[in-house]
This record gives sequence, C-alpha cells and structure tokens, in this order.
Amino acid sequence: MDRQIATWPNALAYLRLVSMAARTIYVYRANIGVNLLAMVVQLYLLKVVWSAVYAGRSTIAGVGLDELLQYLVLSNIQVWLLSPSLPAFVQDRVRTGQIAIDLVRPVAFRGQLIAQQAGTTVGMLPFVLLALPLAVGMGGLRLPSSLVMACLYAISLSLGFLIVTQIGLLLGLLAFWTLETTGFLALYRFVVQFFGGALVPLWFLPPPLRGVAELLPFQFQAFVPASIYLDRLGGDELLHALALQVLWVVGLFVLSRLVWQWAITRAVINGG
Amino acid sequence: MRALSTYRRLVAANLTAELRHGPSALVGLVMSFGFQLTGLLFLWVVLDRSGGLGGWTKGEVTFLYGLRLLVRGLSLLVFGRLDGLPGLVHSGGFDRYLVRPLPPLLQVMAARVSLNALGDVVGGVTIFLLGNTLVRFSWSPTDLAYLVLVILGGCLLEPALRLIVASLSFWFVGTGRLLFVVDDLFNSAGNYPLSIFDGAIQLVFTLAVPVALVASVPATVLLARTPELGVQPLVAQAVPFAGLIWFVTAHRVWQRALRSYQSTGH
Amino acid sequence: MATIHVRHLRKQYRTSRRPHDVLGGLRALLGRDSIVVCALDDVSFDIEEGECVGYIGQNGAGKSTTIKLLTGILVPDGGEIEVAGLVPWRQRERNALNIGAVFGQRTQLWWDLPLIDSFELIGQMYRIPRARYRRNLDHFVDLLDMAAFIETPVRQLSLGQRMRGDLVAAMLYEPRILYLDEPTIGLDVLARERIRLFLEEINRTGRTTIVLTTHDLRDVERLCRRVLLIDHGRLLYDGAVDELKKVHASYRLLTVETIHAGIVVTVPGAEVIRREGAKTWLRFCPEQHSVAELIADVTRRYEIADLAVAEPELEAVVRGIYEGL
Repeated sequence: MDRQIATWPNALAYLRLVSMAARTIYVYRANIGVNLLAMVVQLYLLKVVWSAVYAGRSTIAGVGLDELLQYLVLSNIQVWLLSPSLPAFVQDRVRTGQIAIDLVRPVAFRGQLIAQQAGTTVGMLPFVLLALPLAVGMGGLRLPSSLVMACLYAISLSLGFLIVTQIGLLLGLLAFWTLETTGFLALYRFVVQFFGGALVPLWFLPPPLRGVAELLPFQFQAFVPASIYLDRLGGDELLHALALQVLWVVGLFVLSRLVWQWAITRAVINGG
Repeated sequence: MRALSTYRRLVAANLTAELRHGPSALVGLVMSFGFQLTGLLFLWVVLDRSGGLGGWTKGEVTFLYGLRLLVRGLSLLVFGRLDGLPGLVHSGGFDRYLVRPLPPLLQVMAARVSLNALGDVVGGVTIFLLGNTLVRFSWSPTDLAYLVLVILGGCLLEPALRLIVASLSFWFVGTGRLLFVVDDLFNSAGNYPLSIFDGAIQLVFTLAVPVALVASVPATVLLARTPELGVQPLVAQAVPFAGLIWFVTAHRVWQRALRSYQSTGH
Repeated sequence: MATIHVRHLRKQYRTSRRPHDVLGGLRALLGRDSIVVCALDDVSFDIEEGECVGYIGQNGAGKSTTIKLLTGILVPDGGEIEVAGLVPWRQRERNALNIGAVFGQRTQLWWDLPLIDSFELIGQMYRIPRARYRRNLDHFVDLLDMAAFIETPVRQLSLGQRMRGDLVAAMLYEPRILYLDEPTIGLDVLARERIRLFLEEINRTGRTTIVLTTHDLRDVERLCRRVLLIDHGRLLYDGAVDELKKVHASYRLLTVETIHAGIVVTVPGAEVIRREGAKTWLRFCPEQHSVAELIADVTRRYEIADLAVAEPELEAVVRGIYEGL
C-alpha cells in the first residue's frame, strides 16, 4: 500500500505535484500576502519588546541586541516559510473521502505529501524575498561566516523541513479522530513558535522550559538552524544537534507510518 | 426591544448547538484559554530576563494582560467573533438574513457567539485578580467606577474594528484573513504598555488600529502612570468614549456596505 | 390593488471579469475592468391575492433577480415594486413578516439543531402567537408526515426531509406570499409528489399567493394556472398555461404501439418524431387532420396494441419557444 515506487516516470509525477502546489500558492497570493504581513508585524512587535528589555544593557546572557534581532529575523522567516500546509490538506481529503483515491494512486501518498509541502515552500519563497528587505531593515542580517557554515545551515534547514512535513502529516491525520481543530491549531502555532525559539531564543528560556523545548522537535525549525547560521552552535554541539535532527526525522517517519497504517485500517472499517 | 429578545434566543440556540458537540466544545474552550495563557507566558519569560518592560513590573504587565483578556472575553460574548460574514457573502447565505424580520447585523453577531469566550472571561478575571495582588492595588470607588467605564468602552472597540473589516467582505474577497491579522494585533500589541513603542507607532496603535485603547491606556491610568503617555491626563482618561465613537463609525460602514450589497448583488 | 405590483422594473449588475482580490477590488472601485450586465429590463406584472404563478426562464434570464427584488434582498435600479402594500427594499423587516421564502439550494434551518428547534426559533422571530404556532405546526407535521424526524438534527436529514422542513418553516407564520425557488430540485419522485400535494393544499385552502420559480415545468403544469416566461431580462409571456400551449403549440401527440415490434408506422398528415421498440410517437395538427380520422387511419393500416392522444407538455412548448427565438 505504501510502497515507494522510485522510477523515472514517477519522479516526473512528483515534480508535477510540486509545481501544482506552488501554483496554488500563487492563486492564493492575497492570502499569503496577508500572512506575510502578519509575520512582519509580529517581527516588529518582537523587536520592540526585546529592545525595551535590553533598555540600557548591552548584553543579556552574553547575547547582544544586534545578534538577538538577527536571530529573530532568521528564525521567524524560517518558521513562516516552513509553516505546514499539510494539516489542512490532509484533513480536507479525509473529510471529503478523497483519501481513498489517494491510496490507490501509483504515486506513494507519503511522497505526495512531501511534494505538496515542498511545492508550498517553493511557492512561498518569492514572498520571503519580498519581505527580506523589510525584515532585514528591522533586525539586520549578515551573511553566513563561511561556506561550510552555510552548507551546514542548509542541511539543518532541510532536515527541519522533513520534520515539519512529518508533523504536518500527523496533524492532518488527527482528522480521523476529531472534527474540531481550529482552537487546537491556534495553540499549536504558538507552541511551535515558543518552543521552537522564534519568540524567545532558547538561550533565554528558564531551565524547566528550556528542558521541555529541547525534548521537542520544534527547535529544529527555528532555533537550531538559526543558531548554526549565526555561529552560535559549533563543533561538537553542532554535530550533536544534527545527529539529533536525523534521529527525529527517522523517529517521526516510523511514528507517522504507524499512525498512517492505523488510520487506514480505521478508514477501511468505516467504509472510507 | 423585541429584536433583542430574539437575539438572545438566537445566541442561546447557537450555544446549545455547540454544547451538542459535547466534549469537543469543552476542548475548544480549554484550547482557546490555553492560547490566551501563552501570551502571558511569553511576557513572563521576557520579564524574567529584564528588570521590566518600559518600566512596568511583572505585576503591572499581568494587571494589563488580565484586563485586556477580560474585556475581550466580554466583547466576544456579546458581539460574537463576526468572522462568519465573508463566508456568508461568498456563498450567498447572507441573502437569508435579509429576508428575516430582524436586523441582519444582529443575525451576523448571534451566529458567531461561542462558548470559548467564556474561557476568556474566566481566564481574564483570574489573571486580572492575580495582577491586582502582585501590584497590591487598592480600589477606590472612583477607580471602580472608572473600571466599569473602561470595560464598557473597551468592549466596543474590538468589535468595532472587526465589523469594519468584516464589512469589507461585501466588496472584497479574502477579508477573512485580514480579520485574523486584526485579531492577532489585538491579542499581541494590545498587551504592551504604550511607552515601549516610538511616537509614530504609538499614534498608529491609538488612532489607526486602537489596540492600545482597549486596556493598555486605561491600565496606565489606573496604575497612576499617566505621565508616561505624554498627553493631557483628561485625554487618557476619556479613552473609553473612543469605543463609542468607533462603534458608531463601524455601524455606519456596515450600513454603507449593506446598501452596496443590495445594489450590486454578488 | 394587486398583492404584488411591479412596473417597469429594471436591474443592472456591475461585475468584474476577475475575482475580487485586493488589486481587483481597487480596480473595480476605479470603475475599470468591469462589465455592466442588464438582468431585468422593463418588467411589469401584477399578481392578485391567492394566485399561484409559475415564473420560468432559462438560467441567467432574470428569475432569481426578480425574486430577490420582490423579497427586498436587492434594490432596483428603476421602476416600482409593491408587495402587500409595502416597498420590499425600503421596508424590509416589515415585508419579511408578510413573506415566506424557500430557496431550494440553501436551507434556512439551523444545521446542528433538531428540526423542532428551528421551528421554535422561527416562531419566536416572527412573533407567532403560541396557540396559532402549535396549531399550524401540528397541521403541517401531520400533512407532510414529519413526526418521525422532527427531533432529528437538520444535518442528518435527507434532502426530501429538509425540504419539507423548509416549507413548514416558511409557512408557520401564515405569510401572505410564498416564494419558492426550485423547491423540488434534486428530489426523488415520491418526495416531489409530496411537496406538490402540499403546495396544492395550501393554495387551495389558504389565501396564500404563491410565486414558483422552477426548471421542472411539470410542477408548473400541475400547480399553476398562470405562467410568466422571462428571457434575457424581459417578459416574453404572461398568461394562462392553457393559452400558452394553444398559441405556441397547437399540435397534439399520438402514441401508437403495435403488437409486433419493428413495424414502421407512417400516417399521412402526421409527423413521426420518435421511434422506440414497438412504440411510435407522432405529431399532428388537429385543425388540419381530425383526431378521429387519424385514429381510424392508423387502426386500419396496422395491428394496434395500444393508442393514446395527448396534449403537448409545457416543457416541449417552452423549448419550442426558445428554439424559435
């Protein structure tokens, strides 16, 4: 049922899915634009608050205001770019029963989801480029310190992307169990941002909260890649973080596979 | 007025419908309240790292937050979320409201009153009381009277802005998302003392999108921090009346939008 | 004064070619990128109390626009409307108390609540005195056989059940005028028949004026004595259904079924319009060839199993009018 069919024709099919998802973003560009506006406003508010916090002081826990602002710009853009489109996508298909057809398609469903998420992210890139001057104007952003660091950043971000995709699928599968998800999604959005480190960098979280954040996968969307970019994570710690990321990707893959199988059997029992 | 008793019945019907969904209604309430708590969590974490926010202590910020949340909850309970309108206009379901012997605005309001608002009210009161204890506020009769005025005025502000944005859906598609942004602003920028923003933005948050007038400025007055606002004390104290002005304006916009709907169809 | 009085009614729409996102909306505000569509052009008619009138036309002809103008949803660009002495768009809420409306494709019932709750809310909204509410409710529930599902949430009802619910909701407060927009759409044969019987009943007993908009011309044929045909915003025909048939379709249909299949049936003076198995449908003009002659002719030539003469259906007549345009 979930076999990965990796042949040339199917690669094209995936690409087409990616482009379809990207084009959908363009169709809804007004929505995305408003989303972008919301992100920029949030970034601005964060800047104001943190500047007020720093009033008079040059560093807090060894981090200067400039660096903090750059961090905020980077992590917020990352969270925005990687925002999951899958929950709504999967939920919609479960509700309309379309999911039954998805299972029969020659392209593996999981592959479809990655293509969908990838397409969404690709579609949103132009918007990021649009917002970049604005965001940078707020906090400033320097280039990565070296090519190596830039590559490591890219790797970390890609792993973060995979993690988001898996989580997105799991969230989408929630539709099998519950109808009411709007309140949950609002809360989820905050949890991702807070424990991901987009509102408060994890360096600043009090120990109990920091401990929780480090146990969760959300740090890999914002905090970890951004820290790598800003040279705040190096050497052993860096390798450790990347290894942890890979572990999460694998773990989530297994988990989502299990939940997926469970959901399918449940769907079959309910008659689709 | 007869219309008001019908309004009450419509709201009751909507709430009953929510309750019929059983546990998920409770879950929704808890989630919604949980979401509001997270805003406070963020502020507390930030304040742990600094001496204060614009000179405001943790207790004072909590006081402000509680006031805002309580006002928001009350306004949601009375006016509803007003976010059903874009969908209704788009689908043509709004026509039905025009065929009923009841002002369409009341019907739009009643349709989106939700139990979640109750969570906001309870949460807001709790946090406000907490803030009171932290600040060791002592309430004089004038303070209490002013609080009532603040709550009444504040309850009108957010719905007024929502109504204006919602009315736009008679002309534009996609105002639903804009409503979300406005909501976000009230939930975030409205929590901060006005003094941390620079002058131009202060004007924006008091005149253009009056998030600061809901609770921030009134709290400043109650906490006897009026001087930091840089305006005449009377201006700051008169803020609750802005709610009335905004609401009247919003109603005008609504009526204009309604006339446009009727003359252009959809 | 007629119950519904319409004179020189005119309505235009300004629509843009693109959906209104922010940019499109701005463009529309500036007056560019929009086309003016004339939905109604100089429409006039009177409907008396107690009439049951069919309002027919193709999609986009102006039917929905007329109904929306009569119910007060839209404001006309020209002309006058008066319904039960009120101007609908000016005195919308008062007009609402006089009218009932059933829009076939959108229910007015509360989705998550039991059907009876919707009725209670309607009762409250339209200020129906308690005794009258109870009497009407019992009467309609009985008439439409709804006791079995009156406690069921509306979202669990079938289309036919929901339609019955909508009809009752519209009639509970005994409106003077009932507007029906596609009330039988999507219903199966039995459900449609039930609705038709109900409408016949209320038109017969009460003094309710009924305006029926539908694509199913069998409904019109069955329920209405008068029909208004609208096309491209203008009234093409306003008069009795019988007259319409007589004027525009003065032919008769002859159906012949032979005992043995495969026989080609032809009769001088009649035109074959369809053949299927042992049945042949013929069309003839009774003014030129008498019915008796034709029947005698056919029976003389062939061995007949069955034979029938019928009037043209309204559907065919209207189609003919459109094709003639």
